[in-house]
Amino acid sequence: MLDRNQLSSIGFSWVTENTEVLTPYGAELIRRPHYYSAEETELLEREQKNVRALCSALLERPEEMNVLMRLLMPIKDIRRSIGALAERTLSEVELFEVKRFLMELELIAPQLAKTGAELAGLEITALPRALGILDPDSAGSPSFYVSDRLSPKLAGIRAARRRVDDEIKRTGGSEELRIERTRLAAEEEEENALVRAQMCEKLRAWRESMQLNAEHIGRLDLAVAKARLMLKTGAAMPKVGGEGFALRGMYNPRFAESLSEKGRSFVPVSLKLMKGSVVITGANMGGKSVAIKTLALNVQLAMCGFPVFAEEAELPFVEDIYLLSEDREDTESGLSSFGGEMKAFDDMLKNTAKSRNVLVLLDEFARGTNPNEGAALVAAAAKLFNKRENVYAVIATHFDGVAKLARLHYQVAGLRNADQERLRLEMKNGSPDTLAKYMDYGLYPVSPSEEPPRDAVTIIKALGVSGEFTELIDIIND
Amino acid sequence: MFYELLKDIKTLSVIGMCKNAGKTTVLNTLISECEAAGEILGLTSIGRDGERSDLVTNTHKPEIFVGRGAVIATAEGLLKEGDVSREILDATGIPTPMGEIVIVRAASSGFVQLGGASITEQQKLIRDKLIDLGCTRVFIDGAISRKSLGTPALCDGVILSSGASYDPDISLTAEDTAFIAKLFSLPVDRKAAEHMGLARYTAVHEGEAHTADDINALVPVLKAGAELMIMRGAVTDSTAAALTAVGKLLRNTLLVAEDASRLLLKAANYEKLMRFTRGFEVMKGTKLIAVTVNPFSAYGLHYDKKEFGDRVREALERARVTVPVMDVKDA
Repeated sequence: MLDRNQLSSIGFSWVTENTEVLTPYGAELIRRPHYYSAEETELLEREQKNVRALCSALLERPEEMNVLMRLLMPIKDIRRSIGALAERTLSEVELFEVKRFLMELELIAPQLAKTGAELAGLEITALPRALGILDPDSAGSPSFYVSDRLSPKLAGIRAARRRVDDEIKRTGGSEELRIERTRLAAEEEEENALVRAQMCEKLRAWRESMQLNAEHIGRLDLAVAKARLMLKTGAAMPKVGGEGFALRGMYNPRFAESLSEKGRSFVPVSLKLMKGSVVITGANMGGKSVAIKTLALNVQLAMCGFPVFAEEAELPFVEDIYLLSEDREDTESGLSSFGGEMKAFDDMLKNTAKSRNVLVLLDEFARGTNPNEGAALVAAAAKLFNKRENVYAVIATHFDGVAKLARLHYQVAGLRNADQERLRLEMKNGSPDTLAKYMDYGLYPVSPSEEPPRDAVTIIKALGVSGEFTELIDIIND
Repeated sequence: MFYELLKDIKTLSVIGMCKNAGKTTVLNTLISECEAAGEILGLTSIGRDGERSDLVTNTHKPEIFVGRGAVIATAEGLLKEGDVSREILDATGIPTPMGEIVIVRAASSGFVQLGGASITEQQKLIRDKLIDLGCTRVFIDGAISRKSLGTPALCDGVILSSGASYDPDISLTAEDTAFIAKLFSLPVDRKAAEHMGLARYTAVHEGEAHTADDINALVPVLKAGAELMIMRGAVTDSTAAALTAVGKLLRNTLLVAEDASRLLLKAANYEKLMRFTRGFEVMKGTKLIAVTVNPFSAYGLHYDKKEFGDRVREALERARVTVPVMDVKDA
């Protein structure tokens, strides 16, 4: 499972923050989106279907959907009151909140029907009989008052109280009258509590239905938010459950946003994965890490029942995602970054031994050691994953001798197709912008025999790194 | 007694110079007068910090008594301290240490305990809810003196309650009451806000604004004769010292503060500034409609009823504040 730092670094937090839920129930679900497990394939399909149905409703009956969303907005979290109902009599304010919730259900249930969205396993049910307990006069007012109708005794006390109050108002009030007033007020309080206890006794039978409605409102809210996200961003619902990954035109909205602020745009990534190792090589700063993060984001989204940021996406049911990169949180203190990385790798191997399908993403694995041994480490990892029946691995690396072990090899085009002559001229006043202008961030399938390019020096020159330094590199290389 | 003073005032706050100044008596009088006139009242408070310490000083605290139909915004935890029959109208979600602020309608007459929000924006929200619920008048149980000076944003009028519990020295009580009354009745210059810059000081000369954080940077403008000196933020005793340092240059200048709550300087320093400038104004203000006096002290040192009223009247006159002074018991 990806940790919080990783979820933020791949852009998943960006997506959840841009998924606009309307209720406290939905807000709770979006804080920690549910990752569907292998046993929950049907539930994931159902969620996808519901989101698609709500998408259609948003397009076909936008007015009705707007009314529905407006009804969701004022909803308050009343689960505490519903919970308390099991143990004690609710206060007047708690009963007010329960009543308000029941009245909201009366409106939401028919409104949801009006949207025409056919939702599976997602039902909002009005509970008029429960509402009747709290609104015995069927006044339909959203306020809560313990009605006289529920207790002749209460009605009697209140009438007596009114008489005494009027008497006090008329005469200024004798000491006896004031004592009488206080006595009646206390009596009313007592009878009021008794009536509330009876109400709660009757209401208890509806506890589960109310709880269920609250839960379903949260899920409905989240599904509506996903549907709106889908329409707003043009995200697509992925096909989950096949063998192998086919992801076309993927992008990462978080990176796309920051690029567009700089006047640049995100170059979409297309990838096919099969069991075993897929290797990505290519120039520094060419977008290998971004490609890996974009893949991680979209798989995580798909497995949480979200639409994905791709033109088209097919993927198997992924039980777990492992991302080993510089963003990894080193929880084992006392280990060097290399030690931490190896430990995490080992944990991953152990944890996934029995899983059905896992996605393993290695970004510059073993970068912290010498290139000879590092290359051997990565090559060994690639071979290991090829042997495993349950691993889809993507390995981004600069090391030689790894790609030839890959089932598939992708390479960032980098500076390969750049106009070398003009690049050389512009490099004299290099900057990150110069580099971005000539860099081709596209990821293309190449032959496994193709080795990683040698353009680190060109890149640092294009970046405008100190000439004193780059001249020395040239001398050493010669 | 107060009713005719309430003309044009939809939201009124009653604030006290100290505890036991008679705020609650004033509120009760206002309530019964307005209810007699058939008004639907909304009631709330601006926080309840420290009010519990009445239990410490052990004085009898009269509670607020409302008639049937009044609408009350108070903390949920304070509902049980009152004895009206309640219809719950709304739960605002605004938290306080005493529970969420709820809005209830009194279904009988009876006592209520008011508690409210302590953040101005929330107080405004509650005031607006009370008005939306059909209240023809909203009364706010204010806090003690300076804490209430931020009230202009919230209400159209204030009543200031003073009493013998403030200090055993009757002249001190009278002078300080007059000073607070003066701050509440400063002239309001709404147009000054157009000139105010982001810096600490804005000097306006012939309609043109010059700003600086250090007043000395504005000396050339002041020499030319600025008509306004606008001060952003608190006006403290050290601000007074800075203004005094440029002294005579402010002879023809009007000092403008954001509102009375920003004037945190001592009365003596205020008076000094008044002497060598054209005086103080505020951008946001409210209307002081009455000062009430309570000669009874919770600590035993009562004032003479007539003397107290006279002293406060004289002090107000010296401060050039024209406002009726009433004894709470007469009210």
